[in-house]
Amino acid sequence: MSVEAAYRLYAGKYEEESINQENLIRRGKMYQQIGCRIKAAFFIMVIAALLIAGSVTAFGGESGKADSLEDVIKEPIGEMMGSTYEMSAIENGTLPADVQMEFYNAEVDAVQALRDGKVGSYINCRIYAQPFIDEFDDLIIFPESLAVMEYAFGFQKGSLLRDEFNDAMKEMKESGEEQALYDKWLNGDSGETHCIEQDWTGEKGTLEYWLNVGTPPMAYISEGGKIEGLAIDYVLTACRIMGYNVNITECSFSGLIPALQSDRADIAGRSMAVTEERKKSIDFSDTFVSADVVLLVRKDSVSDAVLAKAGAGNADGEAKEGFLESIKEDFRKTFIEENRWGLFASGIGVTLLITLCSGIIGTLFGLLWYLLYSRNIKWVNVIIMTVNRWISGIPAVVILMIMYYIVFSLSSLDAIGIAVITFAILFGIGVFGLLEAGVEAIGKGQVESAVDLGFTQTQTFWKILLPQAALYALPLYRAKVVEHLKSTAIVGYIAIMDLTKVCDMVRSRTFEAFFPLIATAVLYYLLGRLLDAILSGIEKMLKSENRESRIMRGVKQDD
Amino acid sequence: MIKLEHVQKTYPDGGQVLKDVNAVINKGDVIALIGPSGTGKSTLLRCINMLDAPTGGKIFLDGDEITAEGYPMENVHKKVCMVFQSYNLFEHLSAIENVMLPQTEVLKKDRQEAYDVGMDLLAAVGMGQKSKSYPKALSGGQKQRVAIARTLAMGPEIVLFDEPTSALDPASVGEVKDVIKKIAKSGVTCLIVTHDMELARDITNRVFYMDQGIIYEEGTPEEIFENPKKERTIEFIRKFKTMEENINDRKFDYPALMSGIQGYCTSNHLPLSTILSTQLLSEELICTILFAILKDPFRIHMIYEYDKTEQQMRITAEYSGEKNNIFDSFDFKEFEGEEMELEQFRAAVQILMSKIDGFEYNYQEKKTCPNTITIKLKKGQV
Repeated sequence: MSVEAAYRLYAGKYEEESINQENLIRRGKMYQQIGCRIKAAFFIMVIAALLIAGSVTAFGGESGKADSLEDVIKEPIGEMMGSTYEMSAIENGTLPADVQMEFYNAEVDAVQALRDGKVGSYINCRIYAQPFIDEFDDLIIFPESLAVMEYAFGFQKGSLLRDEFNDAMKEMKESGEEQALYDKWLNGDSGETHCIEQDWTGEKGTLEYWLNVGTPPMAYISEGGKIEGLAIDYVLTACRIMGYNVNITECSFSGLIPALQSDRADIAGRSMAVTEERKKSIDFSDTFVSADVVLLVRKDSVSDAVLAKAGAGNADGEAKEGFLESIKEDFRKTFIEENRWGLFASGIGVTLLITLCSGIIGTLFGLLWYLLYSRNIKWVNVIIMTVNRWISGIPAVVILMIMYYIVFSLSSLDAIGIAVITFAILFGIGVFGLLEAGVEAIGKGQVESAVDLGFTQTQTFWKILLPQAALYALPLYRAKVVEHLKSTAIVGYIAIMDLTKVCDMVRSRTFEAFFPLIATAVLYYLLGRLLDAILSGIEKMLKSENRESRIMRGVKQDD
Repeated sequence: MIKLEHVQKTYPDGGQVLKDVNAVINKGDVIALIGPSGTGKSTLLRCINMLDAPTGGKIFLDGDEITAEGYPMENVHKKVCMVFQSYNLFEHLSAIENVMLPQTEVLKKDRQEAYDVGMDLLAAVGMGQKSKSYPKALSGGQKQRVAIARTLAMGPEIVLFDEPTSALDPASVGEVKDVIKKIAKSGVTCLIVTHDMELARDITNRVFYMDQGIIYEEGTPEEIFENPKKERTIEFIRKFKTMEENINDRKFDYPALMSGIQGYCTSNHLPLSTILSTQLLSEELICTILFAILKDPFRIHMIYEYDKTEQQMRITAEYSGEKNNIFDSFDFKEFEGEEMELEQFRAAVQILMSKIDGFEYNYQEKKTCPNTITIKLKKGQV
């Protein structure tokens, strides 16, 4: 058939197909529109739900004023984590067993939550509650005692020291020294009070006294980082009688009992409540001070009758500070008073020391660790991968505590040393990962040609792989170092006074929940930028090293 | 110099690439390894320098059995060196440093000597001026030449080339082939795995055709290329003389066909004009004419053959369907219509007619593609 005829016969086929395509496109657009509408509707519903929920919680609840204990405990009670006040009150029958509780890491946090209205009250003993009343005008102690707390010092189980201590305590009671201490610390402002100086030589040796430091008056941090408080004074007095000197170490509340159990501390605690549970692990001295358990509440949340009973004035009538004024005051309290900037400086020093030492050791460790891995000995690599996975899979803070309380518990290595080793390992594993990625990016080809030319594995690693992997990984390395700096913030758990711990201390001492935190955040940020800038400089130096001169080193050119 | 006895290579995932390779390679031999992809040519090369040890059989190098357990690999690496398809230069070092580093690290030469040797070799491969350049600033051909200089700096007795020109653009291929020719002439024993038949023909004294895991046929270049004896060798060589492509779908891989035509023409040293004409005619023939005429499902089998004696390119299209000579009845006076597609059709046919020296039509009933049209390109096309 002719070309024309053939074309006419078969050309129609194409038109059919193009119609189908148009249909598909049209249908597709329709579905798209429907899909968009469904998505929009969904979003609107979600936002509406959130708004409703938000407004209910913000404005919900009764707006009446509490008249009785029952009223107060309708809202949750704030408490410091690990304290046993509410348990004592429940045992005593003054609080119901199902009372709603909210737990906080530090007293200042709990009190701030109370002032912000997040909890209805804050439970503690009167000794600790009183300074808050002195500091904050909008708080008051609810005039009902819930229980009586007996505080004692902790000793190792079966320790003979405990009995010695109890004898010393009896002496102090009889001689009136104990009452003198109470007068010194518990009545009136403890701001200018200082502990006695250790001007005696303990013939029997030195005792390790570990305690958690927080708000006044039992134990708190003062000028120059010195720890002051009733608890210290009491222990110093008793030890003078017994014939010991005292070495004071600060740790976290949760670290007290482990410190005794791992034989790091001889005496522990600043105000530990005696409980059956704790008696299973440690022995207690006799009660050295007792106080009743009370609730701290906001003045504006209780009725006038309650206020009158508590002996306070009206809720209003306080001149509010101007915003700028309050910032200035916060700054003064955080940095100037008692030269607290010195504390921050030493905290920065400790943080940098740990970061840099563990960073350098860790980098070397990571390099060698990877070099070993690159040998491709099967059983060695299995071990390496297992170790890497375990360490990457456990939170750093848990690893740190394992190192401190278990692995190094019998060694004489101090906390900073243990921290440096731990962080060196953690950082090293990170560097290992970077090298792995870098070498992967380089590819097998260059390694093959190196083998073919006769390079040994070590030569291949140091002269060919590492220079390229390092350059590839340098930006990532920089980021890792800044992250590493931040990760050291957990060393407070093992009694190291780094920048974060200093922040905690200052917060407890000044009752400021807010300003020290912001200041610390800014300081960390600046430290991070500093490290980043130094590494950037090194990176630039490595890259721009005069290429020509390095190539021509030791070689004469004939022109 | 090298003896291969019953060499086998089986990969852990089960593939047996080399079944039973036996060969004797003499000093000064320049051997080409050719064959279809995947038949173990590169694998054999990598066995000889022990990058991937064989799983069976023995290899002897100057009388030593290098496949023996515990044989020190340094001895192998000293005598045998490889040039890779992907060059594998050290990216963080300049060209001269690439050539110096193996000398100072492995041969323990001092830097001055390494430098002098390096500069000489770079000059010999034509890279003297670029000694301080880094690999990322060099073209493929330049990189490959630096890689060759680096290999030669080690003073090997045997150089293995693993598809040295496969990754290069056509312009660079020539530079590298020149260098390889020089090396071959200088008396170094060379084994070259290549798809470049011209390279194989020009510089080698022996050709191994590898297929089915063995050295299927062996001989001089003339024997293998002009007079292959065994069946698969004949098939392989023939494929190099022609290019074939199947088209069974309107949405076929058009770029692949075009680049296949280009590749075939280039390997036959045909001018650009021929390439363009062939591509143009293929497009018109297949896309405009045959696609319009043929009904789905259809089959088209294209064969491109360059006749060296006649110096003429022949395009053959075998297609399915009923007996249908597309060139029947060209009566242009009939076509008066205004449809665009019809215009295209006319144009296509006109183009074809203007560029060809004639055509042949055949019909063989029993075949899948009974229709055959062969067109011959006009010689000296512009």
